[in-house]
Amino acid sequence: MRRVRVAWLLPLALAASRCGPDGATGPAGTGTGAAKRADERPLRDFPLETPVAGDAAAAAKHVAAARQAVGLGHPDVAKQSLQAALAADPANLEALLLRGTIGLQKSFAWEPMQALTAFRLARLVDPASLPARIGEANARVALEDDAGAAALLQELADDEAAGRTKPTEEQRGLVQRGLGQVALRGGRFEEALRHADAALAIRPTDRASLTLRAEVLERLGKLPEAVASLDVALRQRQDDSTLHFAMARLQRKLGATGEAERHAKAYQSLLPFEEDGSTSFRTDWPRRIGLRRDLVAACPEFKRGRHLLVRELLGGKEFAAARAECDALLAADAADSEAWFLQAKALAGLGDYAGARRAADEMAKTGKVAPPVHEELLREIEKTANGGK
Amino acid sequence: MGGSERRVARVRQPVPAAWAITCAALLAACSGAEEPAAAAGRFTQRGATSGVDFVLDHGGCGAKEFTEIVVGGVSLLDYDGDGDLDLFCAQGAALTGRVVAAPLRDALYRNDGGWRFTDVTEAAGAWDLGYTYSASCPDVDGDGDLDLFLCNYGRNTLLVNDGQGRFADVTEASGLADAEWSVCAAFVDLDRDGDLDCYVGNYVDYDVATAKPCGASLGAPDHDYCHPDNFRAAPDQVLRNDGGRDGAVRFVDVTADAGAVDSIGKALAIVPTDYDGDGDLDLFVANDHVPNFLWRNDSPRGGPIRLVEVGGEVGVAQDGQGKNESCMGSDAADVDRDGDFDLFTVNMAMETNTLWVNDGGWFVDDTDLAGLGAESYLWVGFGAKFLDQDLDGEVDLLIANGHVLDRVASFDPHQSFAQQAQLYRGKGRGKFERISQQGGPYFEEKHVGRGLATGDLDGDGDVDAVIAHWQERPELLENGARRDGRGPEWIGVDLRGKGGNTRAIGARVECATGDFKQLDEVRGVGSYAAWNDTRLVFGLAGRAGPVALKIRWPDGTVEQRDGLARGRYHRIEQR
Repeated sequence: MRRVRVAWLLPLALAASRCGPDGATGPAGTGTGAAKRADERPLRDFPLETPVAGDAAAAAKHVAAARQAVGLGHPDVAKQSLQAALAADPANLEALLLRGTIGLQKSFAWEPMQALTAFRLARLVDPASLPARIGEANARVALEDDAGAAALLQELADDEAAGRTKPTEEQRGLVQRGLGQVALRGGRFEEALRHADAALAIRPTDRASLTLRAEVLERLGKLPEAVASLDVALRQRQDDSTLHFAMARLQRKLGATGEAERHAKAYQSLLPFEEDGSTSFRTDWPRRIGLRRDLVAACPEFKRGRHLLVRELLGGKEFAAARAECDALLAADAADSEAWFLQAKALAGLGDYAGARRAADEMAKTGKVAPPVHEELLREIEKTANGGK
Repeated sequence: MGGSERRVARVRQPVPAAWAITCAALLAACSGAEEPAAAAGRFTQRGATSGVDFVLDHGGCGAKEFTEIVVGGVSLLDYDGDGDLDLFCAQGAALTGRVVAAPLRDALYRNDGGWRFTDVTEAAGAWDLGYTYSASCPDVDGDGDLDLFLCNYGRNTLLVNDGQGRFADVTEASGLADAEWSVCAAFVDLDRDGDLDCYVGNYVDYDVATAKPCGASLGAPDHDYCHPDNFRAAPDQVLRNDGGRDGAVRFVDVTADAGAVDSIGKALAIVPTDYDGDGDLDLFVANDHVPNFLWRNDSPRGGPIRLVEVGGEVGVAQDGQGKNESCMGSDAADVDRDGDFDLFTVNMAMETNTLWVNDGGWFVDDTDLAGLGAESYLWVGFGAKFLDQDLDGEVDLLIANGHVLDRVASFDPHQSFAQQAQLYRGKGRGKFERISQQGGPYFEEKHVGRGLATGDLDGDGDVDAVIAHWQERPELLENGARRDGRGPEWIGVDLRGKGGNTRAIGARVECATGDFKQLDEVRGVGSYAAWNDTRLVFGLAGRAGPVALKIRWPDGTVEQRDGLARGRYHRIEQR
């Protein structure tokens, strides 16, 4: 089989019209009645060539920009920067690892296929790279390639046990969690529970491991324990619809109808934001705000829901309402950096630029945000003050 | 189910590819050389020599109208009452800008035996000029022959069979001339008054005259087929059959009175099944990227139709992670042989297919545990049908795959437009393993698979299949289970109900050989854009002892039949 070289920047244009003699559009890759024969082998393992080193200095600048974009929560900018880095230096290990890592971040730039390719390329550049090996294993877990993942994960666990590698705690946790997920999908629940517990022994608050443990416990019929595990995960990530969905199901099974309803409501209020990619939803501010209010009503104890509500109020240009929400949040917790961030935006929207700057500075004083976030917020306030220029 | 960081993405409109690849080289690398069709294998391809020359045509000319990409229906019915299954192929229609020498039309092929078919479309009048997605083949007027209901983009069509194999268009008088974009329709006796009512599954509100192209605004080099999120859902319809007394076919829209007016989905498939075992048929509706419906039938016998949507409550609205999936072909079967019906849908790439196992009226997403998760992650399923392919008494599974983005390989090298079909063997207790490579050469080929219908086309006791291919002729697949050595290790049931429901749709049959019990239902509709053989086949390989059938007829009466001979179909008339 031929090996295929990945081209990082290859614009592919199609002909404007593909109408046939009588105007028909033909199928791609097949002809009428004549099909190509091919392996059923998944394409996820298509052959790759070892990337060739290029201009490392140029790539480093793009990687730095990508890291900053990650810190600021801008996935598209991060991806573009990494693409530029890899165009300059296809063998740049840091860029490949970062590309893989963000591709496995569910709420950032979830692209497990691209993550897998990035980690595979990273392993071609440095076969011993621990992050690349762990990354590839977890990408395979995400893609449900359980056989491929299990082999890699076991190899990693064996290497660690034999002292051949010295993984960080985070890396050890990832390996255990991956083994647990594979075991769960294989129906080996006790084994899955052992791995989930091992992962949590290393990183007690790892949300994915808590979720895994809850899922295994549910399969084992240990519902109260499953609820307890999920509850810890939910407190960390209050806007994850899947956690509310699972909690609603568990509570229903336990006969706690009110709790089940509450989480079902939260789930329903969150789902459109995760799944509805339509333009109409993106700009339907009354609906978006209404859904966020539903979330706050269902889970008033979750601060995150109120932050999300304020974000939608800002999107809908309801600056006064946004400010009022922020005031309430800050009255409850003056060190709430997210509330200060949103307060600054609300005040800028109301034309109180001095107040907005003060709020931005208060945000910085909490010590919970990176300096670039503060700087960008100030720039944005100035831009608003200058009429968008 | 799997870990938390899974299955959240699906292929949207083409985003600028961070990863692009030399597609031609990739496809060349991933495709084997052309091979001649081999004679061996579980399924033998019969399409090329069958006389079925129908070529599915989406009717477009490059504008990539949304209507084009999901077309491809096939139906199996005995239209002429001669005892074998004939084939109906649903056809698209010429869209704006397309010039055709002759109107595109559906096609009906008469089964002449020996895997030879003759085009009888004209003689039978079995076509319309609509853009047809599927044909349901119930006996709507209860006169004993099978009629055709064509689900169209635009006005649907009802063609009533005169008993001589000629069809007449009675749409206007029937009350079935809905103008929404309909993809599927179930005909079941919802109110158990003896005739077949109708549930029409409608897709989205899409106007080819005003729709804007998708994709280009996202920076793609060319526009592409749209994502369903771009369109509002079209409401489904519930229609009560009020015909019969004067011989006329008359349906009345009772959507609102039935309680179904507020639940609007994007229906691509319907599976009637009695999920709660209470004696009436409920309706599972597979929706595209919005929650699925499970309509629990709460209609009092002979009273008004009452449907209650319980999909979210019982766990089939979404997958086990709470994600809406792009559900397409769907089916129900008792995969774990615990006496109730489980549900299955095929979905988009980057979603797995989903198997919901029925646990006393509540469903658990057991896709991964069943062995159906990882194997489906990169595929886009359309047709999906359970069958006992090897007659061993365990439910197997056949899936037709094909992507919805013809350029998908240009921005995601892991995927392809044309894809292989998949065959899974049931291992018992709800576990499956993929055995496509044992299925015959067809499973090595790539096609853009769409509708898939199953039925015993050659009457030999094993279940064959027909798969629609986008812009190609369909493939006819002869099941070789009997030919490859199975003797009379099966039993077939051909039920005839009392009253207007002549094919006993909704009847539930339990087949017992000793302690080994199999369960099935008469449904007709199922899979994607398909109407399937309403006869039931139970595999008995390795199951010694007398065969006993317990039949629960659609009206609730239960009948036991013992001592039935193996190796043949039994026509059983309701007493």
